[in-house]
Amino acid sequence: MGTPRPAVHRTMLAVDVSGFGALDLSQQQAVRHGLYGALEAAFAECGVPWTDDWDGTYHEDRGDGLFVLVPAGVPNSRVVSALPHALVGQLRRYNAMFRPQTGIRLRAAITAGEVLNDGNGVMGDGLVLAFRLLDCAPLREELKRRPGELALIVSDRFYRDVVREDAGCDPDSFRRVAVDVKEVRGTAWIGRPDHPRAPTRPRPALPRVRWAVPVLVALLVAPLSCDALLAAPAPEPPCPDPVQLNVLTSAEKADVVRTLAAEFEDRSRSFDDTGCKQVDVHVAVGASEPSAAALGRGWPDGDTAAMSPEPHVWLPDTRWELDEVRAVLEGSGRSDVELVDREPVAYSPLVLGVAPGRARDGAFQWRDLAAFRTLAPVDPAGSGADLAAAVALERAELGGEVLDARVLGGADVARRLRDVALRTAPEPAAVCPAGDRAVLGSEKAIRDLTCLRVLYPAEGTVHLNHPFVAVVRHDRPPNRRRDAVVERFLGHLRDGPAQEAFRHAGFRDRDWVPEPHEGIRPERPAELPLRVDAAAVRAAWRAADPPTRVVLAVDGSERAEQLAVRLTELVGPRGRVLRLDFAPDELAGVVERGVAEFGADQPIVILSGGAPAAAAVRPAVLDSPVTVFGVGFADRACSAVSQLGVFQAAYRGDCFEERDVDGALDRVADGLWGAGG
Amino acid sequence: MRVARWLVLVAVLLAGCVAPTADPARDGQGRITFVDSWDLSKRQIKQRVDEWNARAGRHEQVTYVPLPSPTDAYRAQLMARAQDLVGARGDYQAQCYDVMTLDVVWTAEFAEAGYLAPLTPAEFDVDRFLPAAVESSTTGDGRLWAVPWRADAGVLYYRSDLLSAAHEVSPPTWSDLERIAESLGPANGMAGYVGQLDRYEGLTVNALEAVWAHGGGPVPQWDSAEARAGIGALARGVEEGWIPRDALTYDESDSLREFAEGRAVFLRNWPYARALLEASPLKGRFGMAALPGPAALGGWNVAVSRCSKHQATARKFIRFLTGEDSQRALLEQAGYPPTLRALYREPALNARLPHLGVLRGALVTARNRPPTAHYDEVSRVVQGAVHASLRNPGSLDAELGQLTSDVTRALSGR
Repeated sequence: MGTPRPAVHRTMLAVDVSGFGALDLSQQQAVRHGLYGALEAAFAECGVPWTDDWDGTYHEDRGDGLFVLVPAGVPNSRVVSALPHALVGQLRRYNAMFRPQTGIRLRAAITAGEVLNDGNGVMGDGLVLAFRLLDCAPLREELKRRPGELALIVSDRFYRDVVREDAGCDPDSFRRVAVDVKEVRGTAWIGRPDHPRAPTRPRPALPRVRWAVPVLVALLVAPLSCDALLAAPAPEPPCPDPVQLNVLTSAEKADVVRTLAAEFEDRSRSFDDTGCKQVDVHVAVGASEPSAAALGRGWPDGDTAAMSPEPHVWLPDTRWELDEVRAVLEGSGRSDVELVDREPVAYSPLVLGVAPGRARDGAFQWRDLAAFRTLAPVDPAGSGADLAAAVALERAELGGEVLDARVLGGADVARRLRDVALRTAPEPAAVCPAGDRAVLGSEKAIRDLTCLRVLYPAEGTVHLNHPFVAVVRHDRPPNRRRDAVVERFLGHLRDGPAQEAFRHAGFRDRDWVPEPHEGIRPERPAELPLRVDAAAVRAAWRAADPPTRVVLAVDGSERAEQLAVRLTELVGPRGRVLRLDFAPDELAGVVERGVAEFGADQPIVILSGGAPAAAAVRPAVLDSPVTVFGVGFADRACSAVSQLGVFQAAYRGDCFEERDVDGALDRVADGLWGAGG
Repeated sequence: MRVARWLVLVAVLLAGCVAPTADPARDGQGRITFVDSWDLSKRQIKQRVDEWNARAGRHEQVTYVPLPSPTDAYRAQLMARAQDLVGARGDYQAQCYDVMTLDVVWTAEFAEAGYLAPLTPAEFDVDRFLPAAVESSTTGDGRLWAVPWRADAGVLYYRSDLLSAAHEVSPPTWSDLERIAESLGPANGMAGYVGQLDRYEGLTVNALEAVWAHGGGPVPQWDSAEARAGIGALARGVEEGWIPRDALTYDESDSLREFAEGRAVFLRNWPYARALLEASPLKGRFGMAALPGPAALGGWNVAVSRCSKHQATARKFIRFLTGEDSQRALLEQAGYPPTLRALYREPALNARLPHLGVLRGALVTARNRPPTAHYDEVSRVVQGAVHASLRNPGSLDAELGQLTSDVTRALSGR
């Protein structure tokens, strides 16, 4: 209580917990804790920090309840218009989390007047009035008669001076009552900032006397009905708004997650004794790379508009996607979004699906993968499952345990991955019923393709580990209700029935157990040891895969001709080679010719086997942004004074001086299909 | 002297304390964010915002954020953000969606959860608006939480060529509709009637309108003769075939396609379909009329978020957005039915837009779907029971009998 303080004029809020005395000690403690938390949050919501000093929100405990002095300078109208609403909201949230026995219902009084602190405690007429009003019968009756969290009373003077003067205080919602407690007699006003519903059953009109007697008699002679009346349930309190939970899932899990989310909503009615539906779940399906990119940007409104609501839970197919976003967040120094890995909710191994006739022994070697062409197309930007397929394809070709930007930027990688990409079909198409394509996909996806059989890789495979990722926002106030719901949703997905649903949908459960199914091996396939940079894998595949148009300008020398043949194979059926033959002395005009004949939309690759012609004739430099790759097999083919060197300086692209055809092929392939190109 | 100065200061402070001074958020002015579901008219909403920004001061600029168009995704984003920002102060408030467009059926939910700032009816002169639209913005205790902006109501499209050949007019009652559909459909080798009977919000709307057309009161009593008659009429249509069984999977665009491609005599849909039909081969061979009973009111209200710290600007922007000039522009350039009654009476507009009279007729008698904080759940149980009744008419009595108690449970949020 401390320092004596002179009298000052303050607005004060006194509150009293209804039914506090009937609680046991531990319940009382819980309620007090909840009440303080609610008050603190409600004041904060109104812009008033909760402090304990005399000039701030000075407060004292008074048995069942407490009072708070509102800091001077906070308008009275705000204390009436905003604070009770905020308090109701906080109480609803608190009550929604706890069992009804410790739910809080408050009587509150707001008064204003002089208060002073004599060192032993605060006193003042306004304070006395507040506690008298709190105690009055109409206010107690109000809370008894109607459900809700908060009944508010103000003195007549306060009503006339403050409430009535400000529409924001909603004066019409108050009703006048007569008060007679101790020395306080007269008028006061009761408001219900919680807007309770009318009592569920309208109060029956009082029976007339001639009915009252038979009714009484009936009640007296029928103790059973008496019991029944006593046992009639009290009106149910209104339910708080359900917590909105937005889930972003991969397409592969979309169906099962939608079903499980609907079950979760239903199940939320039994989270506590109120029976209230506590959760609304929205399930959105997101493509892998766009989802990862949006999360890395903090999912701004533009991404909400283009895709789906900001997710609270992300269910990608692989942990690599999670690592990818984390790397982006870390790289850009963002701390507003944090992804919390809550472990897998299901698994699926990557397998090969082939037509039954080709599935001889149920297994294959990665190095024999080339034998199973044509493979269905792989789109690592579209789904995590396809990302895993691209990982497997790239690893099978390149070997090693690491797939990152350094490894994927290796000298011959672009050429080799282009070769691999050419073994996949250029366009997606239905696989079944023909079964004319092999599919590298999750065990679940292959099981769904009923015309294919599952082949397991003998040396082990890539695992889709379906992590549950909680998206935590540090740029928002903590939302404990939602945190609790996220936790429960995780529990729901890990629970027996949900795990069975995952198995039934073709996934493996958290113990790697599959649903028994023809061709599905029950044991857990070994996992290939791999370190993967998802962004690098996607970039390498994106560069290697697309259709390519290229102008091939060949000077007729032997090595140039050999290289032209090899390059034409690499363009393959996926693209088109536009051939341009030229004599060595026409080199200076080749770019001009290429653009004149074919336009500037595709790169021009110039294969020059002759001695480096000095740029005697300065080539015409075109305005069009054409890409030119020059290959010279002679010494100093790319020097600044050579024709190719001049092209290099003038256009986008590069110049490669190489002795042998293989080396030149790798370098041109890197220019055309390399991730850095 | 010094004491006197102190006294003056204290007096000023006291006056400030006792007199009802401004709540900073309620009276706050500054930049605000305005969110709306994706603008299907492409640019019209943005143009209104641009117009505001051109006129408003630099410190009262509005950032327009169109959000995803499936309304469930839009609602999920609004609800999650509102829940996140409860009680937020300071920097957090920059993330507040100060002004939100809300579907008429969500307004009560957002209001009762405490995510909206109350509005004063006088400030927005709400008497100028369509009464049913105002009702959708008002909670049971009479408080106003939003201002109606874009109205919508179910209407009936019919094949004018077929009807006039058979000397019929657009049906004033459901039994007329049924009679014409039953005869003209088979006679022309097409369906008699299509609506939105898939198991989603559209089914709730179609079911309510059917019950209302059979004498049901504004608040539906599902276990009543009127409800059995209304749902029974739809079920009979499906059973007898003048409503195709496929219509049990139709939404707005499916049913519109059936009608536009000449496979149905009648279509129940929203006013937006008119412009699409005008641009279809059916142009000149269809008409639009009021439904043979009260229509369900659809549309959008605009509300101020409680988390907004610039609520005065937000309200001013809403007055601009819902004002006559803005609504007239949206009507003329994007076809959005206005919520201001006066626009429906304007002779010049009626001359340019002959369908305005039909819209007005539909909107004047339109009714709200039951306003409740738990609308989604209520609608979900209605859809379940009605869809089952249409699939299996024998179960209709049992389904509607059970529905009453299911709706009561859903209304309590349980």
